[in-house]
Amino acid sequence: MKENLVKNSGMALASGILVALMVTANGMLAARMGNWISLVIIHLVGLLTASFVLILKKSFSNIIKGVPLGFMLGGALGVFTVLMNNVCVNNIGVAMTLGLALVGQIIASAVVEHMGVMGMKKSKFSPKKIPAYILMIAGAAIMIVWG
Amino acid sequence: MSGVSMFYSFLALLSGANIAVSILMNARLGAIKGLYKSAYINYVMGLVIAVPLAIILKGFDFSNISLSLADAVAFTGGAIGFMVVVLNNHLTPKIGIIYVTILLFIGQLGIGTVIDAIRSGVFSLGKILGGVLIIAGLVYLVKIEKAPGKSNKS
Repeated sequence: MKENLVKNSGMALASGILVALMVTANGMLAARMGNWISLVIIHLVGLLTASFVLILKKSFSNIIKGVPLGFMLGGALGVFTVLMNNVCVNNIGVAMTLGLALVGQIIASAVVEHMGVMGMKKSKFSPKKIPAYILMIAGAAIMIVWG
Repeated sequence: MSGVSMFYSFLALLSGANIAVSILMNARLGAIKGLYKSAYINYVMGLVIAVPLAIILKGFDFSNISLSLADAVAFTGGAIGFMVVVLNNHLTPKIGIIYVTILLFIGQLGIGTVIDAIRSGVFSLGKILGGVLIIAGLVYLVKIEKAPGKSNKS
């Protein structure tokens, strides 16, 4: 069991490494081909990969059937994450882009949870969490000022 | 710090906030369609937005683009993104979302710092210190969120 934990933890680390490589590759593509065309290529390559796996798993059917339009909007938002990452990576680097995005993600999650919108169970902001946010915001500030 | 890098820093924070919202939206989709089909739908929706943007803003002008084999690596991002989604989904039930998140960010920021150092030739202490503080904050947050429900079987 311990072995599995080590293996799975290693895979989670590897997944993070893949994210950094992905952001780098996407940034290179954007620098080479421009922000807009690279955005199309990135999603096209992703779509081809997903289609390939769906065909392999013999479940390439009824993909969009019965899905309310509102459920699909997450994918539309995803475009802007890719776009913003591409623009940022080429200007402030991989570490700062991913580090600041993490801080933004955690703060936005806390706001959404506190308000209980978008189907989230409402959970009030706990003052016990303040030191955690101070650490993260300090980290983000240090990155911005001395990065 | 220049005003320009301040702008990109704000953009990176905004990108993270956007990730948080899209994760929530995708949770409903994943629940009814499963991992692979919801990834497929995400890419289709991505193209629905990206193609018109590219046509309007860039006019799909491929004429001034010449690609060498060295550029091939730049095309792998979309495929890597799909792998990451599948990998994280596979790992989350095994070691828990909390550890996946922490390890994911350690991997991201660690390698991100190395990539930046290779590309810029400068090893930035500010980025390392900032990254360590952000991860420390994340670990602290996770410890607090876990604390009330100590009933987790060991």
